[in-house]
Amino acid sequence: MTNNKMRCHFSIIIEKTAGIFIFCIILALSDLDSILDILTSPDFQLADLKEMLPFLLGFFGCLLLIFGYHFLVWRKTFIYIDGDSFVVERNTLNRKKSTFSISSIANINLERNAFELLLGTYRLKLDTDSLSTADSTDVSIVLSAQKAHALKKELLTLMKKDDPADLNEISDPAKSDCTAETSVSYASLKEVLSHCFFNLSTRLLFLTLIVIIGIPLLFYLGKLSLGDILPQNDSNFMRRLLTILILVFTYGYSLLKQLFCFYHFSCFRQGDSLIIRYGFLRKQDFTIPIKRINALQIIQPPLARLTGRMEARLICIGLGDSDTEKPQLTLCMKKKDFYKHIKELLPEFSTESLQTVHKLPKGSGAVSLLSCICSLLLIHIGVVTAGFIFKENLFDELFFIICYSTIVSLYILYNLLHYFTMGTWLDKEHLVLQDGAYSKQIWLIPYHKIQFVTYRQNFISHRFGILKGYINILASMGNSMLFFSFISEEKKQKLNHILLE
Amino acid sequence: MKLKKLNKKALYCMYAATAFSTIIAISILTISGLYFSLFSQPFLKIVYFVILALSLINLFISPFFRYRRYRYSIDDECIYIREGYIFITENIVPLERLHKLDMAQGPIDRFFGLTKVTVTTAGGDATICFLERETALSIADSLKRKINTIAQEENHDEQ
Repeated sequence: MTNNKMRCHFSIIIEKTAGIFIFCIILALSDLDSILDILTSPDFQLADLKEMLPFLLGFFGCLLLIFGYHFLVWRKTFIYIDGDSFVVERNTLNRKKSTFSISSIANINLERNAFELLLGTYRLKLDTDSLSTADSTDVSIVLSAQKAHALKKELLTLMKKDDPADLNEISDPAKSDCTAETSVSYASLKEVLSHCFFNLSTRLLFLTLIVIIGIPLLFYLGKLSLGDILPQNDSNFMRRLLTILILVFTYGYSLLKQLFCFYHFSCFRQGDSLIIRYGFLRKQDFTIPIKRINALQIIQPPLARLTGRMEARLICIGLGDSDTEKPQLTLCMKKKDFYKHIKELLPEFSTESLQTVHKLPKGSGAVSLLSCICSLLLIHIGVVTAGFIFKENLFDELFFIICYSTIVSLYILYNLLHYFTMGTWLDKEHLVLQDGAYSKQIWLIPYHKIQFVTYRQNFISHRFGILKGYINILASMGNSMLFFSFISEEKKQKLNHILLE
Repeated sequence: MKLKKLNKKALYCMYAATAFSTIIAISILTISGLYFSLFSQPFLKIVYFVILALSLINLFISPFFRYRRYRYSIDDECIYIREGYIFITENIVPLERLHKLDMAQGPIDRFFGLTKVTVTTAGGDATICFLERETALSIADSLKRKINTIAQEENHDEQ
């Protein structure tokens, strides 16, 4: 395929034009009431439709023009491999030639939505290891299935050829276990459903708790009566039913979305790459070279933490650029299975140190306690100030006292859990950061992936000889800055030494 | 690692920058208070005067401590920056991670003949502020040479 120019699949023109057409239909549907009113009004006659003819002709003319424009772009856009570069060349009025070094490709994703599945095409997405394009996809092209697979294969071959380290790794007997393709096993529907359930957000859990505890409490305090809930007339009843239905639909939709997203999830090792596949309506097929993984994130959402489950995500450029791209490495599973799974998939990221308890340095408790007391004082001052401004003594009301003490108790619980969750330790090959409160996140970052480190210290922590800080890694916006909890001066020196080695 | 202090001009620059931001913040607060008649409430008047007093204390104290605390160092391995007033921040940037160098001057910096040098890595930026123009130029030049040497060594290793 080298030096062989090719175009995207023709279907991209239809896909782009149809997108605008569908947008117009949705726009019309949003105003369906007015349209139906006009059509069903007694003054309406079929002859009136003639007046709409120029408008319809204009609309289809515009669509034709858009089609023509996309046809021209398609005709004048070429994709080719030039030596060790991947080139996308557009010779339209606005000429553009994007050249990507193959050695800097972070991952290759073959994506397929329902329309592309029908036509037998794939969307090939490429991401390069660059901070400036970390939150967007560098290349997104539509090709026929055969061409997409061939191009992916050629790119992977060139990526390996470009990097002598790959050849060394393959010949390294210690790592030979990982070079063979492991068997592909897909997650069952039950596993995906359990993953969706254990991933229920902390916010949603709190909301449920508030409803379960709050409504009986409101009844008890006489703030709510049955008359407020029971419908007074039919229209009120329909409105309340609709609100409940919208709420149920929203939760159902988010659960279904997750289910569809991770349907048929599989992740396996192929030589020095990880292959991740999932999706029902939109199928994803990621190929990620191991050396492009900048960190491993292990997560325990609240329910998973309570039931001893874990899941892992990859911190790698190109994963998570869009809503449908999830950087998932494993689904939520029991700890024992999880550790076994990670050992098979990513032996480079040792999870042994996670299984032992690591204590925070001396003084961390005192500093955390002082910070918690200061925050509580500030909250209390805020509440008293609000009382002054609104000229009301808020603490006279029992309901307010209950709400206030619940919030304060939850805040204290949050701080307690946060204190017992956080931790930073220097593993043999990774920096391990642990954070969270109700949920728990653990990051394993290879030392050579740390770009720079920042330490922060206030006068209290200075007195105890401890410090906090953050490290910067090459990742998308949300993950590029990873905060670490208290470490001792000794650990700081050790980290600096490892970084500069 | 030999830590370097900033030039005396940096202290004046810090005072000028803090005074400028304090005047703007206090002006906005005063105009809003007068426009919305917030000062009619005695409690808010007290809050306003507390903020005013704290801002003035900050204006006189913070530049002095920030100047005294500011240290930087550049050696063969890394760039080290220490700064802060109540919170002390230390940055350690290994030289081999550097991708880009920037030099910038704001209007207040230009008045005092100072420059800031920003070093960019694949994960973010770190800035050495309040440097004299000549010092900044020499730092940028030496860093440029070091980055080139590291890149050449890496290329050589790969070949």
